[in-house]
Amino acid sequence: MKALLALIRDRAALAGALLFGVVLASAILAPRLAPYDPLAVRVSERLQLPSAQHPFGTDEIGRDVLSRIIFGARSSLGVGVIAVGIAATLGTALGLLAGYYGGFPGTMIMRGVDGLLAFPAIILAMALIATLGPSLVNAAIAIGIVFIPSFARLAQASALSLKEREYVEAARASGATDGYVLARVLLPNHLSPLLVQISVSFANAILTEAALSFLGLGVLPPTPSWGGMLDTGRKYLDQTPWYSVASGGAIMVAVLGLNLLGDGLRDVLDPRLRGQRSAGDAVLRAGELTARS
Amino acid sequence: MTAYVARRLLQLLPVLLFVSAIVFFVFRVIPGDAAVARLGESADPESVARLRRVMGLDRPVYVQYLLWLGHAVRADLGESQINRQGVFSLVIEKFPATLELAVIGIGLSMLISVPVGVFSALRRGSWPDHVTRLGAMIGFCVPRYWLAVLLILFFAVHWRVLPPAGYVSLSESLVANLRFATLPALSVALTLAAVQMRFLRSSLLEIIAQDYIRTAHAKGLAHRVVVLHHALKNALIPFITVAGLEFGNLLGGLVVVEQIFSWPGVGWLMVQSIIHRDYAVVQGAVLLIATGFVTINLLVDVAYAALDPRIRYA
Repeated sequence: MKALLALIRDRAALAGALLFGVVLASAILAPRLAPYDPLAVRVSERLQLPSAQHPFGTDEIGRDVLSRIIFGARSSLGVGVIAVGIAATLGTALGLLAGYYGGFPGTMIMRGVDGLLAFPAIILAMALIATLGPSLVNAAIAIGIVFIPSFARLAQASALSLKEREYVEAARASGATDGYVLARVLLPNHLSPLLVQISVSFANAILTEAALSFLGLGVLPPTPSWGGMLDTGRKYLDQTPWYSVASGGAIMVAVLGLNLLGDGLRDVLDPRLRGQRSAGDAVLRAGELTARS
Repeated sequence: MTAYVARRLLQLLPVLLFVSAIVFFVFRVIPGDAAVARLGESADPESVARLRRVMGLDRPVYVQYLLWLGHAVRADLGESQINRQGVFSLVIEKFPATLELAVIGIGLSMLISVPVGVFSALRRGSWPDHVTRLGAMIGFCVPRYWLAVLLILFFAVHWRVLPPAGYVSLSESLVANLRFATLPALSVALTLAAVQMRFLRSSLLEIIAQDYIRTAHAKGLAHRVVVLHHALKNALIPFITVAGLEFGNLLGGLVVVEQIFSWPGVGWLMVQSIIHRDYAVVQGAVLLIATGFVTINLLVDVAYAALDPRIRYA
């Protein structure tokens, strides 16, 4: 509660929450908010400039661009949720196990994780999609796998420092099993850095999904996706620039919102890092630079 | 120093082995039989079986991996299914274009970020500082592909001063090459400069708070001299490391930029090969990009150790 209040007082974080809130509301309320059916083709109205009827104009087969952007939030957030879900679950589990048990199994887990870091993120995601085939779910799985290392490293570091604490020793002395210590003692104490990492990774997942869809390797048409629209729209820059510009703007709004929110969360949840607020530095610290695309 | 380099080189081997294993097994997941794929669905079973033997597909998986690895270290990564050209030469041919864009992009980004970062740190808390920091925050969050589209919109569509896409090799014409390289390099440089500027600013501020800077001030040196001669030198060490890591990351980060500007680099080749299901080329490209990425990161580490002796003994 105190954290929530602090977050509301932080103007940048509040702005971030508002921006991301708009994106989230678009995704949830898309059928109510969108003025048109995002798939309805009206060839006679193709490539129109912005007007009262179509605030961002229409696309190459007469679909309303605004409606497609609103529905596109579903693709982006959907991929983000699945990808971060996979990465956070597997990465945190692997990292906690590696940190808690250490020794040979711990080393092996972390070496495997480092192996994944030997690829530029988008290249590994593309390789996975080349074999799985392009689709929304496969893009989400690929991004999820690529993002595992950042979560695993964070969790391993947490587990390494937490397991020396007295309360962990106390739990073990009173007969707690390893499973209990991992799930009920280590995990709850790891939640703060985990939350920050989730918000940063979510922004990166949206960026990566848009890049993959832009390349035709993510969400497939006719399902609206910001990256796909940015790609198609750029072919009509001389006729209706808003088509592409607005699609890219949507990506920017979502990413900016999540980054501001992540910065604010870090300040509130992790007082040690206070004063170092800056998404750029945070990203560098987390070794997340590879995830940028 | 020699011992440090030797140790780092030794550490490179297991990583490369692991990378090659991931690349091999990821591409084993592709549904369908590679022999059938090459001969076509209507091929008779006998010739499929013969080809499977020739390709080694009847051997255990680990033997196949070792065979593949044995070929790979001799620069034999198979051939493209489309034009039968060797994959290794096909990918290596595309590297100079990618490298050129990365070098120009990084160089340009430093030309922007160093003066702006120093200025912002010198005038900490002033309104120009706030403006540049806001600019950096926006630059950090702008998706590079969107920035690229905006650059095309203004410079190629509206003002018609630069070509929207295309490529002329350096050997053909330097001027034409640079004209085509300007927009893609700018889209790389502006996004990188945002990250670099923030990094340089915060490490400068951190250093300025240290004792030896206070000593320099106490000696009566001008603030500008202290910052430029005493602080900047030390702040540039981690900065160069970051720029080096960015250089490696560009091997992946340029994929979309190359696609937008039809710049025939490795990323462009990879996307084309995925679209045409030319798996041998995709596999070879991934392996070579990852090898390049790991090697560049190693070189950055070594350079860092050479610049800052504290690292070697850590």
